[in-house]
Amino acid sequence: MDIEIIFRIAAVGLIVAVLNQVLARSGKEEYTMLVTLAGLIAALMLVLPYISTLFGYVRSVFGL
Amino acid sequence: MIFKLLGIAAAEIVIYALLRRIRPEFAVLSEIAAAALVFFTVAGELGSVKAFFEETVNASGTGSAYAGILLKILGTALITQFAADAARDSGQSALAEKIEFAGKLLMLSLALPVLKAVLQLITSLSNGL
Repeated sequence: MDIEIIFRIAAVGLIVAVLNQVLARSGKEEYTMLVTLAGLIAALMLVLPYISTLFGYVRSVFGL
Repeated sequence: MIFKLLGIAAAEIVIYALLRRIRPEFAVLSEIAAAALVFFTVAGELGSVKAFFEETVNASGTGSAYAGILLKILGTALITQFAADAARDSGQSALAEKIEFAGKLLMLSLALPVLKAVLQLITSLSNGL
């Protein structure tokens, strides 16, 4: 329940961006899409439990 | 408490601006995470407000049957707003409209019994006149 989750997502985004640059420079363009996908999945893994606890909380409070 | 929200909002604005230029999909993810975070910081007060609400409604005795429905409608409205805003922020205004339409429909279906009760009340009153 802390702010560092936003920083973690930003870090994953930055790493993916840097990796893409490195891959592009070294001539392996075909891997950039894979790296982006992997980064996206990692960020999703970070956010999803967060969102599910939020919806679980709202469900319990409002009796949905 | 409000300063914590301010801190979260400021951090999110900066990170969104940064990520939008480099990797737009991560910007949307950070948007959703920040929205959830803001909600969590005020979640404590939500519990106490709900307790106060239930206490007064039960004390009134008449409306307690519909208090549950009212809370359900509030919950659906909250979640629909959350989803619709996330969609609208990432540029999907059409999707946001669909989500809001679905939310309104759900809320209406939740409110049907209350409407029926009101109509019955009115018809019974008019028969009595």
